[in-house]
Amino acid sequence: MSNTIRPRDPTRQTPVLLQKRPDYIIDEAERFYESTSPYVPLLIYKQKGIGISDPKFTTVVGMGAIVTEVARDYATVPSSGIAWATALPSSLGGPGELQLRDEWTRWTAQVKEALQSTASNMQRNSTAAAQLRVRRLVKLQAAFGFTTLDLAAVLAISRQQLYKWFDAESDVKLHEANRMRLGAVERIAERWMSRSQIPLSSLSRDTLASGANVFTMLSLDTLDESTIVGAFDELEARIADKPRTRTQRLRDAGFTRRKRLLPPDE
Amino acid sequence: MTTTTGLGTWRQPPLAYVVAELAISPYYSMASKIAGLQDQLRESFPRTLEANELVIDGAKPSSQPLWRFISAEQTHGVQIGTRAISLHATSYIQSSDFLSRWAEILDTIQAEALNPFIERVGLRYIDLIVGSDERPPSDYLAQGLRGVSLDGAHSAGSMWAAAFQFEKMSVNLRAAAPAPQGMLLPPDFNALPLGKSPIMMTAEKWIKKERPIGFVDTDCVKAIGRVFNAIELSEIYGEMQKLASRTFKSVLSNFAKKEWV
Repeated sequence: MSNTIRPRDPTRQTPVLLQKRPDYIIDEAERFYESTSPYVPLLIYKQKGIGISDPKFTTVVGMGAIVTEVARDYATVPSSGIAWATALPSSLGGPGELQLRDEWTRWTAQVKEALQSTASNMQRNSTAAAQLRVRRLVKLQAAFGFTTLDLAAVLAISRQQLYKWFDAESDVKLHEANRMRLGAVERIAERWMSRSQIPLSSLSRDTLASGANVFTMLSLDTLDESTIVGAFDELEARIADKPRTRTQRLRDAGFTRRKRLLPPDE
Repeated sequence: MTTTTGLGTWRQPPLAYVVAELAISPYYSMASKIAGLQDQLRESFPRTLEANELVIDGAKPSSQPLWRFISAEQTHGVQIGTRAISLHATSYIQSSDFLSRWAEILDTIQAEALNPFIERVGLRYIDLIVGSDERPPSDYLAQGLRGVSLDGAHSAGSMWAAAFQFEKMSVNLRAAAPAPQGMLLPPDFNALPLGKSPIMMTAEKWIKKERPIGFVDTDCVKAIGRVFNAIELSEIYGEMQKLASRTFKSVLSNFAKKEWV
């Protein structure tokens, strides 16, 4: 423990921010600066006398967006009735500070625009075939629930290749052998889904009567669909014989989860 | 060359031919785009055939060029013309595989910046009824499609056609059970020179032996009226496939479902 007080280090926030997407970082930075920027409502008085006759409020918000134009017959006076976290400067700050804020505003706007156009470009670069490929793989995962490594083994490709297949912006083209394998695995997945909604992964390594397990059968170079579907019959029987969990028994008895009675805080 | 794979995921699939087609506004400079398309499709469709089609559009019929890119196994073919672009298949593992191949064709059209105006899109399935155990083809259709029977006569040909309008698209259905003698594929159907599917080979043998066969022609059509967009069209074809499948199953008898599915 140190003997000296450690002032709050704003750079501690940096690692957290850097983990987020770049435009999110910029949004947060903007919010940070907006919360500390001078919020300057101005009271415009008539030139003759200081009495508040026909006052007009002009609010100024944000960095660098300071009202610079002044009506000819009016003088702008910073209001003294505003509570500030720090002392209100007697002037709105020298040209240097305003210039910095303007540059920051310009930079954030430019970066945001660049990020948004990149995001839209990335979306446009996704092809119809790639999106369909990803949808097929997602459907497979919903049926099987395998890990990436296991799914790659079932599809007879490497894990890196599977990551590329899952990338909708990747223009990888499937070879005929890949198409046939993917089609066969899809057929098997459909047969499993028609039997049970439970992901196959929870049962795929259970030893069957034949001594093998379904995952091993799915990982072979040549898929014997009829044998695998036959194994599904055995697995389906095992599911039926498994004792029901407490949640399942309660649901069967008609009990449901209690819904939130209180409105959300938002 | 023939294919050895039965079409579809059914146990004894009756599917013989599948076509996905884009009907486009007349594209007069298509010939200048063919070289680029051929390069893009060469890996999957290495063989190129040239043909002509007679277009009766307006007062004067004209002959328009057609380009056909065929796969090495002759199971798939892409046909490109000035009025339509289509993918034909006599090998159909399952819908997702066929639609993936079609999506690749759409992406190629997008990449080559053809930007055709799409009038309408279509997805067509031709199923052949080749009955087992000498059963008549009409046994495979729902009761309402079997027509009338007359004492002392046997049906030499019976066709039924209907158009179903759904919310966003329509399905034209034609069923023939039995098909007129010698008719293998529906009339007005222009097939590519692809390898015949196993069911087609069997049906041809039956025709030669003068045994009756039938067919079911399911054609799902949707009007588009927009400039080409590959991703949007790919999604539309997914919906069309589901609708076509649902319509086809509704015309089958229980006996057909038991035998085929």
